[in-house]
Amino acid sequence: MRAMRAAMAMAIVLVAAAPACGGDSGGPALGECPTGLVEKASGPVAIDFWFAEQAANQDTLLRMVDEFNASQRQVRVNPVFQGSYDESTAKYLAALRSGALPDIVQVVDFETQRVIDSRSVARAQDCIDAERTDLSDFLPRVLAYWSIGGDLWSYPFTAAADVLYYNARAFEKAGLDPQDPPASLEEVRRQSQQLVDSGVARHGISVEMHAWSFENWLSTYGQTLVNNGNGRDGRATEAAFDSDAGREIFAWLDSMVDSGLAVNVGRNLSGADTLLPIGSGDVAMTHGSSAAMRSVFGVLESGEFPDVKVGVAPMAGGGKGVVVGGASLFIVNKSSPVEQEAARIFVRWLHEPAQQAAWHIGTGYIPLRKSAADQPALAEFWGANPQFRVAYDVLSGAEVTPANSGAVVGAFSEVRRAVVEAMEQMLLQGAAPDSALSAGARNATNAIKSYNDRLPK
Amino acid sequence: MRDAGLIGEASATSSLRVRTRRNARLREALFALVLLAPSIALFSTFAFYPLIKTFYLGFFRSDPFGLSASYVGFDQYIDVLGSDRFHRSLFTTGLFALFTVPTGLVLGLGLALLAHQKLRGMIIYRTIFSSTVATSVAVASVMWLTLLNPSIGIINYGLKETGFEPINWLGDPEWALPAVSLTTIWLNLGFTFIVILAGLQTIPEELHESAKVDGAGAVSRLFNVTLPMLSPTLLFSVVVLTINAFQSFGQIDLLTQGGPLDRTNVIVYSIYTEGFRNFNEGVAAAQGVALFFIVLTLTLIQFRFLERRGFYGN
Repeated sequence: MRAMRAAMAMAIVLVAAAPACGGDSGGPALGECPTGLVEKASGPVAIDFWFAEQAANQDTLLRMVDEFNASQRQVRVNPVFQGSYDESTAKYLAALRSGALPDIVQVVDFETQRVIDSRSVARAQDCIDAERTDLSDFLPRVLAYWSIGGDLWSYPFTAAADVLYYNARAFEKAGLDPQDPPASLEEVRRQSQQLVDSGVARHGISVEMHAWSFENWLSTYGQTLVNNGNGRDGRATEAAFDSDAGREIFAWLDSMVDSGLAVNVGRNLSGADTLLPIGSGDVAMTHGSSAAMRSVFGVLESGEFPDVKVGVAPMAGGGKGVVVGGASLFIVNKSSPVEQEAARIFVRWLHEPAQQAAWHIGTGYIPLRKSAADQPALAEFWGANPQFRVAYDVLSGAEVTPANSGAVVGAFSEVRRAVVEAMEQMLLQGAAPDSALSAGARNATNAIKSYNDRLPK
Repeated sequence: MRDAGLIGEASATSSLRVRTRRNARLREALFALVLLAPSIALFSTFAFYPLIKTFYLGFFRSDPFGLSASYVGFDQYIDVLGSDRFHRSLFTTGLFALFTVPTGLVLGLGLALLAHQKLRGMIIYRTIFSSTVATSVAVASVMWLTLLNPSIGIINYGLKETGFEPINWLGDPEWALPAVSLTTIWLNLGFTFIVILAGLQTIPEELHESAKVDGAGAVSRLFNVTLPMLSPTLLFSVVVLTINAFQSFGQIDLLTQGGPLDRTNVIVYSIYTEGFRNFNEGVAAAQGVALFFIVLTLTLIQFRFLERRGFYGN
């Protein structure tokens, strides 16, 4: 009997506990930023840091956290790996229900708005203003990506750009200038034609069924993904990509794949499906994140593929600059003020030029501030590996526009799904580019509306 | 009970006996309850409570983080279960079961028949055939992802070498579901093999011998002795394989993520996308309830239909 009573009691507790969590935040309200608390604390302030970096990037991050912990006695950071970029945000949002939250969480770029909407994070700008943090050294493009309505909600952490990877050796064989890779979509077509005609490759370029390249292409044409200044002047209410720029990109993709100048590798779940055809000689070009550069060189220049010499160039497109990609660090507002301040101390340390240089060298993510480029270690690294400079030059160069600031929209994952389905309808099902694009935009708009309707009032 | 008999005069004890018997029965029931308590507690916590909660969540439209929800009643069930996407997803799931269950069963049976011979070194083959039961879905998926890779996969290499056009197995809408099914059949094969081999080993040798005496050949013995005797095992395998097919998730997530064009978007994957990507809990719950009833119905049908033909001995 006792066992049963205990079991029943346990069941009741579990049932009762499940929906009862949540509640009010213990931290300060928006607009406030209590400081000077860590100094007064009796011992080191321990904070949990949920991150999503894997492989070599994870090693670099953990090494840096150790370094930070050893460098001072006020703050102890406890790093916790939470899976891939997508998984970690899902875990964070699921944890909101149980209340077992970290103090800092790394959030992938496209989930920024959803996490802000969850009202569980502190607005970074409040403390940047209160503590008079100087951000003038940071790349304006990077700040712009994580600013909404002029306010930073989170601290930029990882940043990368969509770049063109190409096989310089194949270019030489086809009689193309390996120093002059294509910059526009028409040049990609022309050079692909030459690569195919000369028998150097079966196709010119590989493309994947993912929305990120489409979002970047839109940006290079100065076209936003969603309305209201890409969701930065006000909450986005509909998709904006059913436009001339969108149609031009879709028509180009369709005719390229149709004529065999481009090959569609599908959803690219291995993450290497666009790159491996370069190794096998099927294609000579592809687009991909600069954050993958270490793996790209690790695989394609491992000696396995003697006919490959990888070149890196800015993404070919409309010429107006791509979107910043990456992730930022949010400070959770359920944490106590002293924990929030400790989290800011850690973030400020990560942002120091020396750490920024080490971070870039160890991961391939670009340094977030200009003075990091003056670090001797970085100058030396770029001298030996000029390809790592490309993304930095791309993102430190172009001026800030609503399009190249990237979209902020709560229903981003649904919008991406609508874009991918539109591309698949066109490339796999033979739908006309214009109608596939319009249908995709309609589905995206419906998803945005449904999301906005479901927001708590 | 025996104690009650010792008390004495029948007339005086009859009502007492009834009472005692009732007490004893009550005590027995309580004792049974105590023994059942741990499993009742576990099932209530991890199966019944989530099940009821899922039904309940289906009536609510959740906010985009799954934190709060507003009551919408049956509207959500009607919207979700009536949508084209859900019907396509149902169709895909059915097709997936059709691709994986019969083929998996026939292959498992074939391998089990081959391995049910008394030959030297048979243990090695049995180990090989059953090995996939110890392979995790993730490992198997990554392995097949590499085998099926359009540019470096060995399958396409074979096709190219023999003069065929390479196929983009996981990216082509016509091939994606068959390719995922292939992975699933391979994954399930170890389980089916072990279960059927165990079934074969329970068939008494005398039956085969007397059939032989009656002049039955190998084929005739297979159809008239082995398969009828094996029917309960086959029924069990069909039920388990079907439920597996309706609950497959890992290989879909790792090989196709439901694409291309939703051609591999089985119900479980659709539930996952709604629940954990779009954080649309109510919609996911409504689909979960539908899946529950589908699997329940299928299982009942299979038991009714196949049980009658199943031979369970005497």
